[in-house]
Formats: sequence, structure tokens, C-alpha cells
Amino acid sequence: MIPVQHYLIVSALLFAIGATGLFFHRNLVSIFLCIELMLNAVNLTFVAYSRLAGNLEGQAIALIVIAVAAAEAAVGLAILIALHRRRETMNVDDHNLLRY
Amino acid sequence: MESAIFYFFSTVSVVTAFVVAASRRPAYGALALIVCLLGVAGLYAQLGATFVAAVQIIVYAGAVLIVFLLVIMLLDLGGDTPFKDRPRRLGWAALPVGLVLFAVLGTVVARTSPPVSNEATDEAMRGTAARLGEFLLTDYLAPFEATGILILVSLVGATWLVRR
Amino acid sequence: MGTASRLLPLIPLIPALSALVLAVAGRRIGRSSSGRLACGAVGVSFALAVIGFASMLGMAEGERSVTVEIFDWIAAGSFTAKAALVLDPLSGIISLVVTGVGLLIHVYSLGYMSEDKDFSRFFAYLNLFTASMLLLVLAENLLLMFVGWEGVGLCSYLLIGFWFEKKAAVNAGTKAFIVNRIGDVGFLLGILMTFLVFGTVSFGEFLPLAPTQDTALLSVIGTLLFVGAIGKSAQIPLYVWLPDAMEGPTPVSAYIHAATMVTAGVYMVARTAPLYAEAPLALALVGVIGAVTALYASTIALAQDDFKRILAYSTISQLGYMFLACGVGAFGAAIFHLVTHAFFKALLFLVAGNVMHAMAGESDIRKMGGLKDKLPITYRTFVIATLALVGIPPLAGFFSKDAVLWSAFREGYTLLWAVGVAGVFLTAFYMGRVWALVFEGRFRGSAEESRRLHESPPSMIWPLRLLAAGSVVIGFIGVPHASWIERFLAPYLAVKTVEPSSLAVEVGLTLLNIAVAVGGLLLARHFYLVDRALPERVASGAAPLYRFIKGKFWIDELYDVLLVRPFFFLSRVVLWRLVDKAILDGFFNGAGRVVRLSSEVLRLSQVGNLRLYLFILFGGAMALMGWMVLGSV
Repeated sequence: MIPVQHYLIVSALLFAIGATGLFFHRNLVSIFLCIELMLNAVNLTFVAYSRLAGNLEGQAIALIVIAVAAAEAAVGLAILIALHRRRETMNVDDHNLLRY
Repeated sequence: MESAIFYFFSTVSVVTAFVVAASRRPAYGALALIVCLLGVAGLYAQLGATFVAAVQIIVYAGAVLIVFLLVIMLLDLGGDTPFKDRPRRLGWAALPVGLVLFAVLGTVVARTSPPVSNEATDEAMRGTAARLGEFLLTDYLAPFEATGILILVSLVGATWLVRR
Repeated sequence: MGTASRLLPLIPLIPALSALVLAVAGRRIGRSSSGRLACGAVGVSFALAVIGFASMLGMAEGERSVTVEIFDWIAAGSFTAKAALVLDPLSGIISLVVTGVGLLIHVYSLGYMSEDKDFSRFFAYLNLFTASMLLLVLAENLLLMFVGWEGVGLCSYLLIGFWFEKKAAVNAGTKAFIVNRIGDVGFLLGILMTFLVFGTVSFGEFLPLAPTQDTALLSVIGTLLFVGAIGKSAQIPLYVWLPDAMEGPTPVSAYIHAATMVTAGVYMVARTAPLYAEAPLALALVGVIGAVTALYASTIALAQDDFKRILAYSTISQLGYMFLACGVGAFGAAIFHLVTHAFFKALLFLVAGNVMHAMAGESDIRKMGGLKDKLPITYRTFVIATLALVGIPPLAGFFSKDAVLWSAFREGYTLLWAVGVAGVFLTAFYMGRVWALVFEGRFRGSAEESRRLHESPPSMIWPLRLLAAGSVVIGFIGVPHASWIERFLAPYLAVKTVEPSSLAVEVGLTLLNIAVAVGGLLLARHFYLVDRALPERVASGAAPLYRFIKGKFWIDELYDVLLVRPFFFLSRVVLWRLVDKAILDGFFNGAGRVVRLSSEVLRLSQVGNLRLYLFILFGGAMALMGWMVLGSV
């Protein structure tokens, strides 16, 4: 049996890598992909803890998270499309209308 | 044997995650993410969450990421503009954040006590479709239904957002 | 008396309600209705006053006081005051004067103000004044009286400044109100002290207790209350508002500044007579100020050229006589003179009104002359009024003035008596001057004005006739040794017992008064009809003195320099510029500026940079996690 910590390390690694990518990319879509990666890492954590706790709750949560991620991806991509229509650029630094 | 499977899937996931984080073009990143998701699915299966693994492959990798690719191709996004051409605010923060994050999370993990492992728990957390379905429709009914509404709302929202 | 308790409150209430209606709907109901309502209201009050008076006549001597409680007004700890009215001989007589003369003047105003665009507003104010004055007179305690006191002060302000487009009128109204206010401070302190000393401000309660209190305390109270009377009744040094008050419409001058409001001070002293009787110091002050004012004001009247102003100074002087009477303890004589003065002084003002009406608003007597043919009725009533004022028998003023002077002499105040007699001479002289310059001789105006001279309409004639009749007849209520009015008032005024004195001396002094009065009139005739050049010679001969008198002893200017200017300086420079603008505005503006600057600084954090937001988000989360992790080490 693989110790649960191993899985947790993997998920921590995935999360950290996702965070790194978040700050590294300038393209909005790429940033979004990194967000999905981080979500996935969290999912893994949930399932791992499900094994740890000895019940199904973690898995159920993970399932729901996948559904939520799907919904969120849909809306997020719709926003990105709308943004793209407004200005061609997908550079995150160019979308700064809130700036004084 | 088990370790081999574990290391295989973990390596796949981590390496492709790196690709996602470092790729110049979003298309490459998306493709890498698909593979990463598949790797993680494998990990799910190894953990006993077979249903979750299946859903991950079908829904996450097989639908959500496909939509991503669709959008990328639709908008015909090239790669990032060359590095030297625009200011990189806070780009330097990427690595430090990642490292610190990993350090913190790692510490937490290190504190996690090993699970109580016996036949009963093993049996209890075997996530087959039947058992998970039963669980979702009884104890987790409320979140289940709420998720349904959420999906509906996002459907409507996304459709509206995209209209011309 | 059941009917009394129901009817008495109506006396001040009906004019008040009428005033309210006129104020709200006067414009809408039109002139004739407004006029009828206003006169009707006063008429009803007069009728009720007559009824009340008649019922008092029917009662036994010691029981002529009816108190009607309307409601419990103030109950604060140990201080209680009720809203209550009292009808007794004193308040009854004065109410008759207020409502009777008031009615005649309301009728007169129908004609006088007929062309004015603010007709109903005038009558609203006039009714309100009547109501306040009646409240003052009928009040059962000092505090309620003060309410009426303030009410008449307010109406005086409103009516003096009635033609508010005229700056002079507005200033005069303000001056009247402020000077009155100064007196009111004393009055209020007096009320306060009364409460402290007696525990109550109700006349019925504290007046009988007067003999039991310390004389010094009573003198203080008496002096403080008298300060209020000085302001309201225009004595030295607070008289300066009354001459300026002539800017108001003439009916106002006749009613308020001759017959009623200015007499409120005298009424108040008479009402609290038992207190003054036990406070000789205060009473001495009253008498001295009264006498000095009487002489002083008649001196100024000698050199004035404005018809109404001469009458104003005359009023101040006659009020001095009333206070002189009070000062020697002859409160009954004071009230008697108040009543007679109301008749002939109001009449004189209405005459002035008619003359000004005929002269299209002109009031300078140097521009008049020979009006007796053009305004015959006015002339005849003027003569009656003048003779009454000067003190020629058998007209009213003779009896009342004689009563005042004889009381002074009899009580041993020879100096005050002498001052009073001197005043009689001056009064006769300045009234004779007016008579000669306005009505006798040749008209000194233009031919154009001469053609316009006409007698006034009936509504402005009948009141004069009635007042003239009153001036003739009313004196007989106070015939010496058979004085009905003094007997009527005696039980309620704490009059001291009169020692029998020499009849010969009394008759002699009376004859002296008559001689002095006649002498004054004849001298005036000589100055202004016989030897026309004489006034000029005298004036230029004693030029500095003449200028001093004509300039009213420069008192107004003195007050201006001493009080008014420093006050304005304080207001404008210190308080306005320094405190208000610099300090307070600076403080609040500064606070606003601080907020704005700090928000400008905070605004710098709104960069719209998504990555910055993410960074902060992550940083914060990691810090939190790190802290939690470290915490469990």
C-alpha cells in the first residue's frame, strides 16, 4: 500500500506548479489552464483524504468539484471570448480598465 | 508493482504540469493538461476511487479540456508575444510563490498521520459507481442538487455572455 | 360666577383667533370681510369687557376679584404656574380702555389703510396685538403676563416695520424690539427673584405676602421689574425707540405707542403695588426716573418739527408723569392719568393721521398752516385733545394731572412736584406751537397741495368724535374728593391712608397748574402767531443750546458710538471673520481636505492589474497558512 502522504506530496507539487504557472503566463487562457491544474490538484487531495478518513466523502466532494469546474470553465471561457471581442489582446496586463 | 504504477502516473502528471506552466503557446498547454488529467485519473484509480477516475477522464479531460482547445482554436490565439517586448510585472513572483507554496504544503503533509488501515476501511472507501451513487443520492443529496442548479446557471450565463 | 369663567378667557381669545384667520386666509376673504372680522372681534371683546366691568360694579367692595383658571401650565419641580386670568377693578378698567380705544382705532384703520396692499396683514397684526395686550392685562401671574409682554413687543416690531420696503421702518422696528429686549432682561430677572423669594409668581399668592419679606430683597425685585417697565414704557434711558417707532402707520402709533403698549409698564407697577409699597428704594427710583423723563422729553419736544415725533416725546413725558405718581405712592392717580391719556393721546395721533392724509403723507409742521378751515372736524377734535392734554378744566387731563401733582406735593416730594409743574408749562408750550403752526395762520405749502387738502372719510372722523367726547367726559370719574376711580381701585392697590391736609393749599396749587398751562399756551401763541420772527431770534441767539435740544441731546448718537458700533465690530470682525470663517470653516474644510488627500493616497492601490491582485491573494493565503503551520510547531 502506498502511503497516503505520497499522494499528498504529488498533489502539493501539482498545486505549486500550477501557482507558478499562474504568475508566469501572460496569456489569459494559459492562466486559466493553470487554474484548472490547481483545481485538479485539490481534487487529488480530497480523494487522498477520503482514503485517509476511510469513507466516501472525499470522493463525493471530488465529483462535485469536477462538475463545478466544468461549469466554471464554461463561464470563464465565455468571458474570455467576450473579452477577446472587445480587444484583440489576450495579454492579462492589457486588461486594466480599472486602473485610475 | 504498485509503486511502479504510482511513480509512473505521478511522473506523467508532474512533468506535463511543468509543460502547462512553462509552455509558450496555450494550445501546447492545453494538450499537456489533458495528459496530466489522465495521469491523475490513474492515481485516482489507484486510490480506489474508480468512479471518480472514470468521470475525470470522460468529463474533465474529455469535455472541459476539449472546450478549452475549441476556444483556443476559435480565437486563433498564437503564442505569447516575445518576452522582450512587454513589461513583465510580477513575473518574477512565479518561482518564489511556487517554492514557498510547496514548502508550506509539504510541511502540512509531513504532519499528516498515517491512516488507520484495515479491512473495514478499505472496503468502505472503495469508490464504485454503485456505492458512490448511493452515497450521493442520500447523504450528499443537497450538494448534488445544488450542483445541478449551478450547472444550469452557468449554462445560461455562458450562453448570454457570448451573444453578440 | 359660572358665566365669568366661560366668558373671561374669550376676551383675549377672540381677537387671537381672528388674527389667525386673517393671517391664513386674509387675502382670500377680501378687504371688506377682513376689516369687518377684525373690528368685529375687538368689538366682541369690548362688549365682554363691558359685561365684566358691569358685573364687578354689582359686587361688594372687597369681593371684586374673579379668577378664572384655564389650565395647569407649568409644573416643574417646585415651580408651578397656571394659565389663569383675573378680573378685578384694575384689570377691568384697563381692559375697557384697550378694547374700547382699540375698537375705535380698528375702525379708523379701515379708512386709513384702505389703499394699502397688505390690508389684511395689518389687521391680523393689530388683532394679535389686542389679544396679547389683553393677555398681559388679565394675567394672573407674572409669567403669563410676561407672555403677553413679549407678545405686544413682537406685534410692535411687526407693526412698526409694517411697510418693510422702507428701510427706516425696518430699522425702527428692530431698534424697538432690541431696546425692549434689554428691559426684558431685567423683567425676567425680576420674575426669577420673585420666585426665589416667594416661591410663587402668582399675584394672588405673593402680593399679600409682601409685608413679610425683607425690604432690601423687595427693592431688588421692584427695581428689576421696573427695568422692564423702563424699556416697555420708554423712560430714561430706554426711550430711544419710541420716536423712531413713528415710522409705522399712524393708527399703530395711536394705539400701541400712546394708549396701550407703552402703558403696560405703568400697569405692571400698579399691579404689583403692594410689593412696591414695601420697597421704598425701588419706589423712589420709579418716581425719580418718571419725573426726570417727564421734564426731559418735553424739552426735546420743543424743538422737533415732525408732528408725530412731537407727540411721541409728549407720550414719553406723560408716561413719566404716571411713574411719578406711582413713585409717590399714588397708584390710583397713575392709573387715572393712564386712562385719560389714552383718550386724548390716541385722539391726537388720529388727528395727525388725518392731517397727514390730507397732506399726502407730509408730517413736517413747518410746511403746514391754516388747516383749521380745510379740516374743520379734525381741528375741533384737536383743540379738545390739546386742552385735555395740557390740563385745562373741565377736560379730562386737568383732573388726572392735578391728581398726580397734588399727590406728589401732599406726600412731601416737593422737588418732584416742581419738576412736574415745569413739565406742564413745557407741555402747554409745545402743544401750543403745534396748534399754531399746523392749524392757524396761513398755509405754507404749495398751491397744488392746498387744493388737495380735504377732510377725511367718515371712518376716519367718527373715532375722533368719540375720542373727543371721551376726553371731555372721562375726567369726571376722578374729581378730587369725590374720585370714583380711586375709590374703585383702592382696595386692590395698597393705597396708603391719606392724611387730611389744607384745602386752601390744594386749591391754590390747582389754580397754579391752570395758570401755568394757560401761560404756556399764550406764550406759544405769541411766539408763533403774533411775533413770527421771535422763534428765529431765540434760536439763533442760543444757537448751541437750540441745536443740542433739537438733536435730542445727541443720545442716539451716544448709544451708537458706545454700544452699537462696538457690538457690530464684535460681530463682524471677531466672530464672523475670525471665529466663523477662519477657525470653524477652516476646521471643517480641513477635515474634508484630509479625507480627500488620504483617499488619493489609497487610490494608488487600485491598479487594475490582475497579477498584482493574484499575488496579494496568494501572499496573504500563504502567510496565513504559514502562520497556522508555524503555530502548531
